[in-house]
Amino acid sequence: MRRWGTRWALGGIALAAMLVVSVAWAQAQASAPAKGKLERLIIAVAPLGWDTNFSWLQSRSGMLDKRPALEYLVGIDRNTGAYIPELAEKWEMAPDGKSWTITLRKGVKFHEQWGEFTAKDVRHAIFLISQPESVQTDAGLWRSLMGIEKNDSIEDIAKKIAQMVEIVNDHQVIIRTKFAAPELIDNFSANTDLVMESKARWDKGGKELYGQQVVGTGPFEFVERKLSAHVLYKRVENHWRKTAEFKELEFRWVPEDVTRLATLLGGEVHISDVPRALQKDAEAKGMKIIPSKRTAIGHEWLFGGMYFATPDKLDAKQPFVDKRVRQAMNMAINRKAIADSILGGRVQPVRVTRIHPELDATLWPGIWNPDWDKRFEELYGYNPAKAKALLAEAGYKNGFEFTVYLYTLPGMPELVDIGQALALDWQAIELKPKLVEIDFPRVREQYRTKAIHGALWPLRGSPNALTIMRVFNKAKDSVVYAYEHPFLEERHEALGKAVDPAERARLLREMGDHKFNEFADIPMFWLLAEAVVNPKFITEYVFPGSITGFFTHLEYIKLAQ
Amino acid sequence: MAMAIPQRVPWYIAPLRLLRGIFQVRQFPGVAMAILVFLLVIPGIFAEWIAPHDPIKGSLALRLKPPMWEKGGSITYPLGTDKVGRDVLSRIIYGARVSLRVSIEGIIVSGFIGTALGLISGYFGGRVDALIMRLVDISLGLPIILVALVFVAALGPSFSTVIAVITILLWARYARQVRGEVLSIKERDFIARARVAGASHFRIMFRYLLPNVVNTLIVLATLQVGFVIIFESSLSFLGAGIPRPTPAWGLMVADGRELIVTAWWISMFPGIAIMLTVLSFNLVGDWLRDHLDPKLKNI
Amino acid sequence: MQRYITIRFLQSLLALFVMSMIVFSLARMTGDPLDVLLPMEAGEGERERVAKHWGLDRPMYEQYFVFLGKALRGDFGTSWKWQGHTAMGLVMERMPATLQLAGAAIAISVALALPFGVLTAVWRDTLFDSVGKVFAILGQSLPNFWLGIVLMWIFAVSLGWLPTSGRGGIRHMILPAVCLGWFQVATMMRLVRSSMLDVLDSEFVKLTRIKGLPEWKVVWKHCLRNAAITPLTYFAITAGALITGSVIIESVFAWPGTGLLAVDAVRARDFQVVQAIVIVFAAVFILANLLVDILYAYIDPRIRYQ
Repeated sequence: MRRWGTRWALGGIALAAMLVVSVAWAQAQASAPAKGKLERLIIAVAPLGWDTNFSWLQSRSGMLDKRPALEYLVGIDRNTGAYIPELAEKWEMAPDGKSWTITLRKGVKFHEQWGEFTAKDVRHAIFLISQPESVQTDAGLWRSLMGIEKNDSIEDIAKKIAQMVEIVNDHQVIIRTKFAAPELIDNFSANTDLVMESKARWDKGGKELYGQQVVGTGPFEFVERKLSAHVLYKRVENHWRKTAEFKELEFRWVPEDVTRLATLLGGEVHISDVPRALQKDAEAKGMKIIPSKRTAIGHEWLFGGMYFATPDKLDAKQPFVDKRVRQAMNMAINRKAIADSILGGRVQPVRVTRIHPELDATLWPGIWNPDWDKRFEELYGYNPAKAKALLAEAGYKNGFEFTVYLYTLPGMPELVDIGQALALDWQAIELKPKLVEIDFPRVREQYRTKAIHGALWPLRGSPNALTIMRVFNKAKDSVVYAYEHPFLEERHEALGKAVDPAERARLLREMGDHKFNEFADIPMFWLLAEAVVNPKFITEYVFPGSITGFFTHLEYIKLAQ
Repeated sequence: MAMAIPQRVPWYIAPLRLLRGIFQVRQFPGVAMAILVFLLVIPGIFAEWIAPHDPIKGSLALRLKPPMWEKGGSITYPLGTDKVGRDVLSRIIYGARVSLRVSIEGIIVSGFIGTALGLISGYFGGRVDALIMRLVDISLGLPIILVALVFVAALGPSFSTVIAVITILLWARYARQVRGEVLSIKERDFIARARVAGASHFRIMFRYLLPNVVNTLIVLATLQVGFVIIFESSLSFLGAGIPRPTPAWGLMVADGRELIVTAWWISMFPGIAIMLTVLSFNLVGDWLRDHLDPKLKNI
Repeated sequence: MQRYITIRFLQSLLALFVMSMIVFSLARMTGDPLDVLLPMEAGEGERERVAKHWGLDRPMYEQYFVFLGKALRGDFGTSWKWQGHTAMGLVMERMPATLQLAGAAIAISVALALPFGVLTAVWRDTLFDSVGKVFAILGQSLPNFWLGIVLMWIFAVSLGWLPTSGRGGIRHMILPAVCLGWFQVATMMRLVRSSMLDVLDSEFVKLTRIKGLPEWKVVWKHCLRNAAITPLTYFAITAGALITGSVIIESVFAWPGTGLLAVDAVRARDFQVVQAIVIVFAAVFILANLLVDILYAYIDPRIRYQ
């Protein structure tokens, strides 16, 4: 037994020694300091809903990992969010609103050997987004603009687009549309989906070649994509617009919030998208929070059952149908408390869902009604006593039951906490909210078929007053049936005909007035997008945030020396 | 062991021996059961009398308060508050009830189904046996986390969905074990005699076979409780567990996970509760197995 | 013996077939993938167009037979979420990562369970035995995602000894493998311990002791060899547990394996990929079971099919 003991002791010591050596080695490796300037900029992001090289086989939010390589006809200024020339130098709309003449920039080259960017590539871009398999956000819009029908084959589509998009010469193109689209500039800007890709490349290798790499005209060239791991780019030297300060760019997919923060603090990545709840801690450990220049997303809660323009779907017995009840529910919640505690206070209030005082005013001057700012506190402000009085007046002295749907949406993991906080506020005025956790796609099923009654459901997204009205507040041929009303229906019809911007702004403003006075929903906040960077590596990062709230304009990042 | 020659022992031996005594296998169940009762059963039954606050009502002004021994904490909220201002201690106390319910119901349902099928399978043999055993194979071969996600995606998260998933996960283990036992006692004399005496199949299974497998069932059940509680927390992590705002330990850990560095108490205390409960159940199960049924060494 | 193998094999095929039906219906139970994969602004016309393109507008049984027919040829369709990749291609691409992690986890469990199992058997009822048991059982008592995050914070952020996430060399594998493997240590240790206890008391061992062999040889060379069979057969069930655990660990540590793929696919309602994954896992598991059963039957003729 004793001999055995000695062997054991020796073995144990040897094992311990090995352990110490390997740990020390690991530590030495970990603390290798970064020498000199940053070579590869690494961004840790939550995985997108898609992981693909095809720009048309995902929706807009999936574009983040391809933007470094792709450019648009019209760019977005990173400070102001305004439209600036990018691949297009000039653009002009015809008086009837049904065609746009675009003059293209000369001398812009695609990556690798795919030649110069010319007008045929613009036609090709519209072709890509209009294909039968395209699921891009604007696909439906472009297809209807080009007059493409449900059962058109790819050849039909190519033919129709060839007719509608006229190539005047290599650097001038005229886009004709089936109906007037006075705000079409937004749809070929970097705010939306019309990226410019190479026709020559498609002719050479078609979809298969496109699947191997992302090729465009942007300041970064695609190197590789490892599914669910990362996407890697290298910079284009002497790019026509801006040559980046760092040689390589990597998007790293990290699903867990805490892990993303850990990678940032550990110096493994240089920028991260860290949820608001963890930002204070990041700051305390020396990281810098860089907010976007403009507000990125708007957030609101919608009432179910507001089908005022579809009488057979309207359930008149539901409490929400009464305007006073809706007002009461608006006045019962303490927006400021929620903004400060859950969202870190960096928000601006939404007055009318989802009309933005600056971004929408650019497209439709005159759309904003200053009354909305002036009267918001009086009509929507936090006043539980008045809320209770309104409820009593409407006949609900003892409250009523209703459902609050809880789910998270990309960019807003705090939705569940906000929902719970709102429920507490409503409970305080004797209402009986029932919290139901649900998958967002299930709610989508319900609102598509106008089947949500007696429930509240949250949304978040980017502004564009016209799109909002068309998507949320239209009774027919729409996709999200939130609040509809005959008054709004009339205005929609008028908008279909009006071309004059002042007229369109007036119509939209009237629709906004209606929603404001009728308490159509519960407007909440405009949120900024926030990037958390390591100041040891990055000194300046300016991004507008208005592009689906994401990290754009990475090529302009200034590094620390 | 060789005979020890009595000698004078140093002063530190006695307390060391005492310490060692506590860790002796014999003492474990006692300590473990005490922890179990303390953590699970008492709060589970008497939650309303013990918990200082309502587990569901909270207030934003009180959110993220640290435990009372930290700066900023107060005795009103001894273990701090969570993201929406709810008292962590009260939620843990009520959460014991949820954990109790989930494990008891889950194990009873799966145990019932599994035992019944195992008895039938072992007793009748032949095709029935083959069929049931293949079902067992299939059920054990299903990647249970995926099945859980799919169930929840289809039916929505709820208590019953969690029980259903647990049942699908666990019944096969009971069935297999019970079948094995039945196979080995099936050919014994007393069974043959009962059959000759004209006892019905049902009677034989119920009165003669079942009592002999009860030991196995008890050990299995005890060992499964811990697993069920952890499984429920894993489900919550993936968003497929007990829905909010019910205070379930697993859900609390999952909810607090992003704040594990700043507001560590939200995840840490329910995590400790899970650990102690499961540890105790496992230790008790271990002891039970060693003393009740040595045949079960290979679980 | 031949007959036994054939029958079991056929039964396994049947099980796989039933599994495919279960998977097929389960996947479709989750809802409409269009609600997940189409942007919010997509209208009715859009939905119809994409549904037609993906074959979702056909009746259920027709979809099933198309699926079955293709599956028998090894074609599990193309993924909807990861456009441009086939479902089976994705699974195969991600499988090595999961296998690597699982392998490391098993290695760690065995490295811990074997010595601990043997020693607690030899030194049974001592302090070492109790501490060893508690340590192992502790591994089963912690929710593994919590453990993962805590370990990550301690070792990767505070101490900086290991990387936080992602797949890379051995250093990247340590934390996730430990989290995954600790769970299994208890069961394996128990098995080794009880088998050892049996063998240590047997006649054969007493003989070797009488022969005068050194104690360590008795324990490690002769006993362990006999005791090792039981734990080996447990591997089939271990595989299932590892797959379950890997889903969570892969999520916490951003390890790009099949577990993460599965969760993403279920969330996105990408039926093709979900079906492919479940069938692959099931096939592996059923195959493992089959092999174990045959092994058992070979060793112990009594267990053969009646």
